[in-house]
Amino acid sequence: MAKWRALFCLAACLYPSALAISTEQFDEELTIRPLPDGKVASTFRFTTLLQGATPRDPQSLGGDDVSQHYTVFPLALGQILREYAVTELHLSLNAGKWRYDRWGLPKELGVGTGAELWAWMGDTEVTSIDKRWKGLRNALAGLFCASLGSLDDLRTTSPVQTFQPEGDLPDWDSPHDVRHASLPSEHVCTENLTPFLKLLPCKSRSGIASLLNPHRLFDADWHGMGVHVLWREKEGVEVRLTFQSVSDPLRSGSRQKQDWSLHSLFGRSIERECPVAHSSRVLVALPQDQSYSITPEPPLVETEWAVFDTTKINMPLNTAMTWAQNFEFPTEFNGAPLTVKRTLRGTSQAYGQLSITVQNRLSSELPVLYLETMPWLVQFYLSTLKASIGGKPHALSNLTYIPAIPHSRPTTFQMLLTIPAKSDLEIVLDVNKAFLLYAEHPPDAQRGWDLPPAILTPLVPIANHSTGQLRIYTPTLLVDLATPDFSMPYNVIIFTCSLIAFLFGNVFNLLTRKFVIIRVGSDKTT
Amino acid sequence: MTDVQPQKPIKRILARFNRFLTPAENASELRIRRRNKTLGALTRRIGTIRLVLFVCGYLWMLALPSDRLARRVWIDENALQPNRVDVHWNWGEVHTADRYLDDLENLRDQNATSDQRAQYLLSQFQKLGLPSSTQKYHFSASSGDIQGSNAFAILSSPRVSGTEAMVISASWLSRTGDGEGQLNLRGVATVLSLAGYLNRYAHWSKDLIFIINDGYLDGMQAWLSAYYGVSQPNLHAEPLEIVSGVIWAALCVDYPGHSYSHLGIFHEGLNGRLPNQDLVTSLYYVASSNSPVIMYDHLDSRDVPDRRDELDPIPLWVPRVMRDMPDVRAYAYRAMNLLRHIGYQARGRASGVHGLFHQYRVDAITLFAYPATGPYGFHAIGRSVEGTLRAANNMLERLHASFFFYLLPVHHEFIQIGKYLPSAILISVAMIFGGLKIWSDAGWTRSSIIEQKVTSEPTWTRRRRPVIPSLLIVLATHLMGTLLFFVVKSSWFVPRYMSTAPILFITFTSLPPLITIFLPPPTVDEATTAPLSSLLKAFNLCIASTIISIISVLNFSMAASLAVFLGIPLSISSSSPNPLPRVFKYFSYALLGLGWLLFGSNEPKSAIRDWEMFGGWFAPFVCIVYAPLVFQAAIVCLQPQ
Amino acid sequence: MLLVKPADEHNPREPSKLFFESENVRRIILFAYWAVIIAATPLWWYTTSIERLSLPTSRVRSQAGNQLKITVPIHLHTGDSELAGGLRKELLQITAEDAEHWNGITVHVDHGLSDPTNGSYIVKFGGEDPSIDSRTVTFPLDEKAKSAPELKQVASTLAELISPRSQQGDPHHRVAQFSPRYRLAFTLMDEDASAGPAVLEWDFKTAFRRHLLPTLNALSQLHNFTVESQVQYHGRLAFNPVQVDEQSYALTSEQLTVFVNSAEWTLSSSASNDPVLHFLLFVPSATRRPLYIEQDGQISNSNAFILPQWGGILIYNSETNHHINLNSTDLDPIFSTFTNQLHMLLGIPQLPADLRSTQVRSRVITEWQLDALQRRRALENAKGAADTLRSIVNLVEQIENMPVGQDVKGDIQNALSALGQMYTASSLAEIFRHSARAFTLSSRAFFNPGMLAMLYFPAEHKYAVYAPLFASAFLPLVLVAIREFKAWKASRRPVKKVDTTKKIGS
Repeated sequence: MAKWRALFCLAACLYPSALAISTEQFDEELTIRPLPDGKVASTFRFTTLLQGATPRDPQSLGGDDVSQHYTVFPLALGQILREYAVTELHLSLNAGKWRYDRWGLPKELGVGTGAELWAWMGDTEVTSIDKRWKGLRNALAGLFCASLGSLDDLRTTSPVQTFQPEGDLPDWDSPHDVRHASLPSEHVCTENLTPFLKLLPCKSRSGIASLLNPHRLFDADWHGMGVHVLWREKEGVEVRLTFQSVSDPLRSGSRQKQDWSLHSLFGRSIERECPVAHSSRVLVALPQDQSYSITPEPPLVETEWAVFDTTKINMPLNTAMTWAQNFEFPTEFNGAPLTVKRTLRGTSQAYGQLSITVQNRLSSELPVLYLETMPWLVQFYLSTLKASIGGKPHALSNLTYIPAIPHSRPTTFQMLLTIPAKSDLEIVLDVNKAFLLYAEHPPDAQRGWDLPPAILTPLVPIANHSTGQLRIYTPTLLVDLATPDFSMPYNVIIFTCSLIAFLFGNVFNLLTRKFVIIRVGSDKTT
Repeated sequence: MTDVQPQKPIKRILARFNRFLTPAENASELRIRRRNKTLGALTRRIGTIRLVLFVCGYLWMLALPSDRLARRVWIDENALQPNRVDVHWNWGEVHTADRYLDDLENLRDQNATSDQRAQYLLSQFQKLGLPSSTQKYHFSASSGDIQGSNAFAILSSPRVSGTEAMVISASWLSRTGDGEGQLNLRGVATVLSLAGYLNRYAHWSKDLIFIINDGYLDGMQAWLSAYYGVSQPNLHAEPLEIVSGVIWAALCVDYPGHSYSHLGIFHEGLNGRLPNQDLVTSLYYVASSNSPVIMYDHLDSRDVPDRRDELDPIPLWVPRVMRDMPDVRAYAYRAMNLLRHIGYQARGRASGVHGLFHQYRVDAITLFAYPATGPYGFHAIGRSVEGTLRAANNMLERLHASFFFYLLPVHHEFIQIGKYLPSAILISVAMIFGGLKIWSDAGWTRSSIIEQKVTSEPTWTRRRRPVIPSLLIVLATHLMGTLLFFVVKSSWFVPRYMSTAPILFITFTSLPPLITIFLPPPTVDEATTAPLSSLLKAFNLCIASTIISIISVLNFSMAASLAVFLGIPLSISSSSPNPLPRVFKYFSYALLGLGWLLFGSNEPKSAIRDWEMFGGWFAPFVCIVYAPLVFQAAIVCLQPQ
Repeated sequence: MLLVKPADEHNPREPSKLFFESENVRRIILFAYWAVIIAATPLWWYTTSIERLSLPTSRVRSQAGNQLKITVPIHLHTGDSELAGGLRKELLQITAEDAEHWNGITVHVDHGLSDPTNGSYIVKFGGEDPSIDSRTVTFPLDEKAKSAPELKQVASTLAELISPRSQQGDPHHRVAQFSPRYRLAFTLMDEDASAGPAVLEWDFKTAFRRHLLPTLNALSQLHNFTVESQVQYHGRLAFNPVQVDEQSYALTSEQLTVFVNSAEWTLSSSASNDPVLHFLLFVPSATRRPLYIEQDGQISNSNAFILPQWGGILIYNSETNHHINLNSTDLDPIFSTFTNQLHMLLGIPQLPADLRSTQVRSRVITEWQLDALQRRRALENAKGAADTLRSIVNLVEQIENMPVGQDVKGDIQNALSALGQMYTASSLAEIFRHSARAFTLSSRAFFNPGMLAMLYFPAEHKYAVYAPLFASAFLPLVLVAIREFKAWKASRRPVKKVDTTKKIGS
């Protein structure tokens, strides 16, 4: 009891510290830009800044934490962050395949299909990173109703170079390390959006967030939500909730134009402003070469961006954009300067070939970091690794390879590609497909296994991309493994047992039989 | 040893147990006696048993078309729900299809090159906003080089990872006459308009790949080998610029005519592979609501009475009364379908473009619009394809629930493996019994020459069974077959087929006698050593029967055909005292084995083409397995007695 | 076996001469089989059985018998033995009247003018009106006038202090179940902030320090507290309040029970398993202001209510026509309400009506109250722990396939030892601490997830898998073993000739 009191007093007298001096600021922003293939990309960004706050030092994990008092900062998330002493956290839940070649680079980088979670945490002997990582993913699974719990050790890696922290890392005496896991088979749907909305101060009732209408968002061609927590030494802890979607105005048959309005995209318009939003803006990219009209008249136009400030403009706001002429699909897309194609060849269930083609459209040589975090189901034969450009062999450098351990650890395979200007680099690699224990097969065994996307990281800045380091995700893969017939397991068991018993019986008889000579008289003599 | 006074049950049981453990004095002797008796009885009746087995087997085969053995099809994969799909394909899309058709007809009239066609298709796909590309390919085959270019587009569906895909394809050439020239313009138009139409729907759970492959089978072969990264020595195919995920199902649209009356289902694949029956069944469920469905291009003469004379499969010599019997007509129709099926499967030939998919574990079928003057057109076939795609779109896993081994006498009934397999097995059993009988007989001879006493019945003596020479002969025949195969597939043979075939026939027919000449002369002493002929025949029968029973689970049609062609002939092969009938027999067997060289018309050519371009196993099988087996029997006949 | 036809002359070799046909070889082979089987059995047993450690059942059962007794020493600060005697008599009478209420508590009264050294409660006489300060209670009772009614009055007051009726009451089970740590979640909840003037912020920390911190500090030897606060701007109600007149609304008593809209409000904290006590400051939306609570017909004057064991709710009707931030002075009334609600939820007894606390403001709770609470909690915990342990034991006995791991066993043993220490402990604080420990450990053992995982090897499975395999494999083994044994016995028996044609295992 004495200890408790001591801790409590500590907690009590800590009030005026860290969090006390922190003030909070909430900004929301919606960016809408038409895409070259007639679709419309919209990006919601809700940023909450906890000024002056610092992430929890894992050294203090044993004892009581300072108590948390927030106004706009989401408490449910704050609890998790402090419970597991997470310095930086990135969670993204995406549905669909981001087409870099047509849509260019996304505003938010994490567009890998399915769920992806990576976090930077300080290492300490009090509770190891891996224990906290486990707790973290379970807590988040509970918070977002997603099956993040299955981001277990079979999928967890720590690729430091690719996942550099976006913010700063406090210089505690304990070193920081990253944990990363992705689950491509995760299906994102309404039950994930609802808890996401609950983290927003104005839910989906007022402000820009009121546009987040599940019925329309989940009808889009691509959609993904993200939760990003990071710490900046100057400012404090920042929570960025993002939602991206790519919707297709042309899809509904008859319409030949790219016209869109907030109402046509989201089924709603902004009725009321969020009272606690420090800033709340709708940005619309203005096409440069076509003739269009936008309503209402934007109060402010920054270079090719129309800006609507919902705190100033009169409600309701239903921004709409109409084009003069019908939409023509271009024959040539100049999307991302770096595109990658990754396929798993071969029809056998025992082995296959992984083929990767990286295309550099820039007019300058490009060094790229290529990362595979492959579950142990698919194991690489590094000896067969071949890289070529137009048939001529090409050199790879800085290979790091942490081989998989069956049933426990995934492969981490990273290499440095230097792709000459305007050329395609082809890489082929033979792979071995694992043979699973019968209990390891998923319920839909015949479907196969989803393999996580590979990630490319350009080491020099390409395209005018602001937020730090760039990541490009390949599409995911589906691999067939040898699958037993699960329709009648007991028949199989019984057949096998009977066969074994039969063989056993014969061998046993031969071994223990006594041979003797018997004189058999002719059949008549009985 | 059984004691009579009453005992307690426990004791009695114990006593019985003891008796069981300590058997009678001469128990083993008794057992051996019993065994001998049964064996003797069996061996004495082996002839009748074989006969019975043969008769049963062949009768069973004849019974396959009867509707007693078949049962109605059903959908085994609950996810498919083909009856629930709602289709929206309508006259607007038909109009688009017509416009595409006009363009295609223009291309045909200016007889555009395959590149021009591919460019046109590519531009159309791009107009629809689909990621699309073309692929050039070049085959070098002994029957002449083939080149062309495919066009294809990938509709990557909203909100899915794009790891699963379905294929809708149309070949430029129709399957009628195995792609001898007739164009599949309406099929291509259908696929084009489908591409534009399906693009508007957001509920696809898999990517859709639209392929217009050049030529007939060749184009698809090139595309597939590029997609799966399979390299083929005589094929040069450009790598594909855009790819999608794992293909689960493929539909090939074949619509040669101006309009159609029935929708035919073609499902046989390369080397006798079949698609999962669920796919066929769901197509039938969906399509039958739009237009009547038939197997292949077999119109049922009962449906079109006015064209009975040309359609009726029953030969005219059958009395009119019988021909009018409904059962007979039903039997005839089913038999016709089964024969067609066996024709494809036994020759391991793809009955349509879909056949190439099966080797990559893709379930695929061809929809064949039976050419006629109405009443159906784009509207019906579009709805059929869309509906089937919707059903396949519901798949959560690969099709695995239903059957992969089945016979379809009619589109709505099937025969399970358990009901057709025994027919072939019975015959192979009969053959192996024969072989074993001959083998054991060869070990004994009646030595009644030295015996003077009439008291004892003729006694038996053992004799040697030299296996080496007969095995050598077997080996030699198969080597000969291999040689034959290499000759046949050489570029020297195919072009000048008419002239070379007879030469080949003569050479390879005259080879075995030469071989036998060089063999050590047959042993004179029948008493001490078994004659070569019987040993050879024993081996021949055993090998043949083994092959049949193994093949029967891989490719039933082939096994059945083997059973028909080899069953009786190999069993009755025997030498005869004077040479004339021997030579006659030999030549009849030679005809059975190599007759296809003389009378096979185009079969050998197409079989070789299948082997060269698509890896069909029929040609090598016939040369290396079938012909040698027959020749072994022939050599048996050639042996002097 | 070699079958020899009578026809042929030459004999094959006599098989019994072959080396591998000797009795010993066969017996060794047979023995090897059995050896392997016997050697493998433990492994098989280990892999197919579940871990079920034996629990200290007898000790648990015996615990049920003994009953916690807490003695309350009272020192009457007077030389007058008569007064003391009278008071003692009254007290004993009160305890005797209501035995089960006083069950486990024994009062021990002594008197004298010297200040007691042992930590007993002191009753002084004098002063003008009854007052209480930490451990001392003073009654304005001059030693001459000690009439029965006054004595009775004093005695009942003392009784109320020692073991308040208000606790045992608690008809609505408001008091939250004991836990060493509570999480206090304070929420400022706007019904709809964007609909009109609302409360956007509150100066929580100051108000908290001013009102709640003293209580929490006072309670620190019973519980730890984690405090957190948040603001919600869109707390929609799941129902519509009844409209009293054109500009005022009210909540009916049914609506109070379903007030919390747990589907949409994000109040629950996923981080830890500690029980949470919520304190909700609810600001009705501008369209529904003012909002009152309706009690049997008319508007009640208090705007606060308690949801038993869940927390307290206070409705705040702001009259302003613009967004406001509540500063600490605005919050004073609100937080004193919260404090009272906290007292109720934690079961802190009220002072008897006629007593007036004279201790400094910072120490809100007198030792009398604290100890009364501790006593109650200790008794509850002791009972709860004993019951839980018993139910665990019963459960494990009932369900054969329930695994019992080392952690469960350890928890139970520790709980038992804690109980034991509790009975021997001297001071109240000691008793309470052990009881709390026993309670937590026992409930942890009870809710151990390892026991839920029914990873076992069902009988059907055994039959389905083993029957085809073992039945057919074991039969020949056993038979041959028996035959060999008989043969061996027979060979031991001297004269009786062994039947050579006996063939084994064909």
